Amino acid sequence: MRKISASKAAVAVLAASSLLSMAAGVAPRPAARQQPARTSRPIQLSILGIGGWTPSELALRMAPQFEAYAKKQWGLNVHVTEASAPFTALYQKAATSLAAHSPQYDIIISDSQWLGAFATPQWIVRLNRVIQTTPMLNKAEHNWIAPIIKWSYQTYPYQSNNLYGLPQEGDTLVLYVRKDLLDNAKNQASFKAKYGWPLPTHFSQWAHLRWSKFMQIVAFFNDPKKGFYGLATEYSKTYDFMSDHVMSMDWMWGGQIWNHKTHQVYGVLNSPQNNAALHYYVNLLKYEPPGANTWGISHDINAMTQGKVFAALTWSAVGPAMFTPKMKNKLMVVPPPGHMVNGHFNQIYCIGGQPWVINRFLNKQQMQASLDFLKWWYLPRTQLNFAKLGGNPVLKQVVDAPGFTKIHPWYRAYKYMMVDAHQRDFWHNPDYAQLLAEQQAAWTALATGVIHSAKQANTYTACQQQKTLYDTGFTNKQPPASCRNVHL
Amino acid sequence: MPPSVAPWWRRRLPPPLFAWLLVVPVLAFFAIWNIVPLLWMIGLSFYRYILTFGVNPVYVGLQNFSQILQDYNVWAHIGLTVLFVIGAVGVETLLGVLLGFAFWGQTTLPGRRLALTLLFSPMVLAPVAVGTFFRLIYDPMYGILPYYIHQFFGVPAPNLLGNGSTAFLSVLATDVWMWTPFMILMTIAALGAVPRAMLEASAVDRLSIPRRLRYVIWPHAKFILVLGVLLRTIDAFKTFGLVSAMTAGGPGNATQLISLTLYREAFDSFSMGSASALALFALFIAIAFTSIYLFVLNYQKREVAAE
Repeated sequence: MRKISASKAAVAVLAASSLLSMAAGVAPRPAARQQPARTSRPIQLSILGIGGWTPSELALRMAPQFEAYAKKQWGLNVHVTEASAPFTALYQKAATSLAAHSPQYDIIISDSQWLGAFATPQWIVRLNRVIQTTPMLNKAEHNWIAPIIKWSYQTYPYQSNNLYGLPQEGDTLVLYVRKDLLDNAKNQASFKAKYGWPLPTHFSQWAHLRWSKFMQIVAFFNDPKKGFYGLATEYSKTYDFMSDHVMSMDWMWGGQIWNHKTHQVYGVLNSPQNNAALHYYVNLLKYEPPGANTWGISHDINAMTQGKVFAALTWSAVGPAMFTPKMKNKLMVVPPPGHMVNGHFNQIYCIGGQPWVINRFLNKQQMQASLDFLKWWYLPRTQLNFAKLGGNPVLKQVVDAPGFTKIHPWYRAYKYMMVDAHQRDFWHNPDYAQLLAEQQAAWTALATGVIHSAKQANTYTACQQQKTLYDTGFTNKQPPASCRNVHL
Repeated sequence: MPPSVAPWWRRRLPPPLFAWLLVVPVLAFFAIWNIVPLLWMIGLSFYRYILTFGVNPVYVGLQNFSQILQDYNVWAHIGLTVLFVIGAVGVETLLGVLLGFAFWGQTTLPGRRLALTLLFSPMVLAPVAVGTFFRLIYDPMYGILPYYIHQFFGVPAPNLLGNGSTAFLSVLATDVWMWTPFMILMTIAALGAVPRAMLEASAVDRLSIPRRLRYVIWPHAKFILVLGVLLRTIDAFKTFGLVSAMTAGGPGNATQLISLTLYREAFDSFSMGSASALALFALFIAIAFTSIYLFVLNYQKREVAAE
């Protein structure tokens, strides 16, 4: 087979992609920045983050602190600049820039699933040696709140010892519930009379709640005639909004999404457990507001802050948006429910949060400035400031410090959930985008009534993902012939 | 009047060469930004090349095309796109022609200019902005349309974009709202091409309206009108921003037009070889559409020539 050099082809393909971009609306990339000499001249440090996402924006808001620190500590004149894109467009923005070997962004706030896509073509710095030789980073590396931080935010292949990212923020799915309604004596009496057990009003009671029990609470508060609903979750086709929730249900119901060593999907994802989990998750819609079958994170926040739902299952990172002046005394944040499988209480959720990665195409000065920024970021003092502003820190020293859970109302649930027993991550593969699109299409089809069977949705997904992984050489097992007849 | 004197270099240049010199910048621009990327895209369609895999492009011949031809989803998305094009362009043309006739000749109508300006404003808006607004308008909990449907008809507020059977029609209706003004504009332009003398003569001869349309208006207006339909067809085939903002191709794949599939292949999966093949395939379909229109447009001319 004929081959052409990868670098030449990359440049050429980006020229060709201008045609594709007519359909895609992708803006042309700016020219590579001039490399400043590492002198007293100001260093511009550019961070690409997630637009409209509080923890990402906090890093930028805290940048002046870093600029002052760098000046004092190293005599450096650094100026941090910001670029951002929403979740849905950030990957394209980052990847197209990196594919052109552009030093446009020094540090990129990535998502853990993108690590494979960025690391495989060597667009980002492998951090093992950097961490080993930088005492401040090395110290942080051994001080994460749980091993899941390393596996999720740093490694490619998943759970290997190849480190490509560092955690920008940790995050977990938590449950925002209406404390005022739970504390209401009349509600407590009616609930006990109806279901024979008391409404949980304390954190510890919620921490071990099962889905079956939780649904009784949701059904109790669900009152569509008054425009009030039991629950808000996520079913949007955008990005991974529905997937995060469905995969959490899969794990809790005892299923797996694939075999991450053999890359086998067919027969794993479309298991009876996963079919039951998906069916259960979609059935929650009967307690959710009209139109919730296309909802994403912002809808959950709107519904909760406008007093239209009793509970919202969404990210701890949206805590600052949930606790509006109107709601601050009415909400409680608790661990989301678990599910009993063979006598074992599974309370496993898809990990949120993001790592940040360093662009490999930087000059020495920019690279050093990027490392300086990260060294500053993992100072306990910085992490504590981040926490005070509403970000989710990942240093044990900060999270385990007395008083941490009192800083914000969601930190107790965050701390409780951010352990290996409660968190799992999904593929870090370079073809993650394709795998994600396939399952998002199938699962949202079920949620919106385009198809009517969880089995069909999971079988379609398994067929498509098996084919994708076969086509890209990750597995030598083709999807079975029966897949030809499985459509949405 | 003294004769104009051209500069010395202009007088030394032979006219054809001067003409070429004027055209060269445009040709160079066209070659650099259109032809070269197009050729690269064609070349790339014969390679397997995924940017995120960090592997050299591998020549695979027609494999990308063969995979497209065998992919059920691609055909389903093309089918949906064709349906979208036929539905959108059909309704827009019908409404555009009717409204175009309504505005035709109404030069003394009070507020005509303002009405036309307001009428044309949707088509100058960015599709993503229109998509975002309509997503909010259609929202069953906060949107104004489901609210009024609920108020007037006493039925539950419909979930227009969250239902597999109504999402496609809702997106189509938004496209119609956005692009009908374009067809009004083309109709007004087309009717403006009809000689006033012929219209007056047809009125004097008391030609019936259908005959006036067929023998007087259509022969003069058809070129601009069909050009409008042609432009809308090509544009509708490329619809992306509107659908992306409204449904992201969902629910399920109910509004997954081929442009969204192409975008996903190129800028989510970064599979440049197969994306190029798919882009080429879509280009052939667009060319086929264009050819059909041109064939129909020239049909009568050919018949006359044959006689």
